[in-house]
Amino acid sequence: MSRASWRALRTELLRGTAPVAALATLVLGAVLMYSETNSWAARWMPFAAAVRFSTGVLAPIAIGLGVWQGGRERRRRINEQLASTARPAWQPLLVSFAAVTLGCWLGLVVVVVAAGALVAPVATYTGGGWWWLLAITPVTLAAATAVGIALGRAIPTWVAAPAAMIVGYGVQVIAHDNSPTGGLEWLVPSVLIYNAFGQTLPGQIHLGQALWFGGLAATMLVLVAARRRVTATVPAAVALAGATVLVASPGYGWEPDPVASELVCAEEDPRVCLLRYEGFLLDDVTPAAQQVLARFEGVPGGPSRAIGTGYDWALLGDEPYLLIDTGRVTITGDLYPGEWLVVSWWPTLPCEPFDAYGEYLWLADLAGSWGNQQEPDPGWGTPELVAGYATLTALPMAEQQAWIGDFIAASRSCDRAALAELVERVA
Amino acid sequence: MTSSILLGTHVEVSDLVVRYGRRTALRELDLTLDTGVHGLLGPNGAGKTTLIRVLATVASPKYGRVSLLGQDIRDHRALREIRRRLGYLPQQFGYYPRFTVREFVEYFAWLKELPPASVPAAVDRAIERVGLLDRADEKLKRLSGGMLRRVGIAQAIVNDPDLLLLDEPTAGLDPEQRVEFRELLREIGVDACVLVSTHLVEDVAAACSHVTLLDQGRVVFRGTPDELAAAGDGNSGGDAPIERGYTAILRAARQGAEA
Repeated sequence: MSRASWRALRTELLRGTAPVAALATLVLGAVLMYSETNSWAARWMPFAAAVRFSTGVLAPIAIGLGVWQGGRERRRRINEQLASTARPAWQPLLVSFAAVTLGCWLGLVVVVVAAGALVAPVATYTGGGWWWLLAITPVTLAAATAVGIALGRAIPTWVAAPAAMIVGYGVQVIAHDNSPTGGLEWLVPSVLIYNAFGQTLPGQIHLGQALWFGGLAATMLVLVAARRRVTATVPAAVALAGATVLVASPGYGWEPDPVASELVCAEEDPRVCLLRYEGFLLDDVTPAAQQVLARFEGVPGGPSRAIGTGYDWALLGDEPYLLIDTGRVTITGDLYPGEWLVVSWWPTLPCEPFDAYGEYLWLADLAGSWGNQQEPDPGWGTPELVAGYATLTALPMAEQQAWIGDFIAASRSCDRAALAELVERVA
Repeated sequence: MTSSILLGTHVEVSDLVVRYGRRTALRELDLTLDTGVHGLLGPNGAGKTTLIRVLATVASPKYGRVSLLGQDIRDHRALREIRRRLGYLPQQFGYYPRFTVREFVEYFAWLKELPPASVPAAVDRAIERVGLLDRADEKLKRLSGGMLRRVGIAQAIVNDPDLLLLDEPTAGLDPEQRVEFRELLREIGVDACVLVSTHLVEDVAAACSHVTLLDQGRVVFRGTPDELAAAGDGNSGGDAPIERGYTAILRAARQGAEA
């Protein structure tokens, strides 16, 4: 690229749609990322997915700005002057496209670097190939810009840009909501965040998206600028190959990431464990979880370990455990102050169906309330549950623990006589 | 560009026919232009803008042959070379309002494929020639209509074209600017072929060495401004001799067509 071409690009960057693109991407990207903070804070894969989620809005913006840029020549009635110049049409088109795309990228880079700087010092799991998910983001924005420029050239009216933005957003919503196999949703830029927890994407999805979005961008540009439009068949074939890979992907593409979902545990007893990708919360969670675990010390059959949600419980077999729901996470990877860490215990109910407990099912609620130190709300709890909780918690701690141990034993054996006796003890 | 002075005819048009749908804008038009400033006159709808657009390589002839700077415009490889040596200011000058004067002219220097090393000097020179050097870093949206027209002229001459096509270039210029502009045209016309389409016959009288008068898509007069003035008679309308000549020739051409 010659110095004069760089100067032309610089001028487009300063005076064209690029500054608007940078500002829009920066502001909207920051707002969207901030609104999803608790989904991605301190976790790389959800972070990458959140960036891609934001393209649900940023890509339509790129389309709209592309339309605006693409229609500029005719709107400004300058196309005749341009047509009389020597430089092949693809070169000013490429400069124009590059300027808008770079503007979008610039805004996005600021958002990603700022958010990534918050994730990096805290995150406890860096694997899973999250960077591939992130790396496709600029390609999606480039494709969106190219589609917009092609539309802008074809429909150079004032309403084309907002209309294209609305359609661009709508197409993504439809792709996510109505994709029969899940494959179609990979043909749009945005990705849903909730799939990213403890999961990963196979390489074929990343490759397919790179081919699809890259090929789409090239096809649009060639269609606009090439003297012989038949040359667009080459990038179109690349895009089609990528689309085929994506649509043919089994299921929804996401796969469990066994390493991300491994347990990492605090060293001291009683053990408190979280999934590896949430391990950054271990120090915050451990004291509270150990406090709850301490209530079960000496309770026969009581839980001896607290484990974070999302673990494959089948791997624990019959081991009783406390469940840790960390809830929301702050932007710096801390527990949300004043809210939501729930270390819960629900006694195992092996009698199936639940009807087997018959009139004694409320005892499970009582045991759960005791384990969670949560007084039953008189508004929804039965009178016997509310009264039973008051009686149980009024007993000395050793007797409370003995009652819980007996309940666990009776529950496991479906011993209705023993359950009836437990009712008597808290009557 | 002046570095490659053309020896021979700059514009050679023969049997040119241009149609827009059913309407014929130019009819079997023949025209030859060499170095100098050529005025293109004619009433509205005579085909002046169409002819300029064909010569600017943005409109295609239906029939006929157009050779610019010694090369046929149907030859795609030659077209790029022709365009490098072409300057064009259309009747409706389009511009990007957020560009500065310098950026806009520089952008066109790039589009015209000037050698990168010569761009800064060429841009400064073009802006200076239209008298906008003191406003070079002003955004176009802040300029008056006359200044914008001068920017249009600057982008047209930034490559020192061998063939300069100007469609109504003096629209919006004040009398002083028009005088300066005519001086600029004479200067450029020493080495290049300049074709100026205009309604203002006094501009032609003052600046052009040759005049072509079009009516209904045909050339009805070719000659010098003096010859045009001499064609007038006492019965022709107009205040100046050249206006009387213009009117007389048009009247005669229409009478001939009716007969």
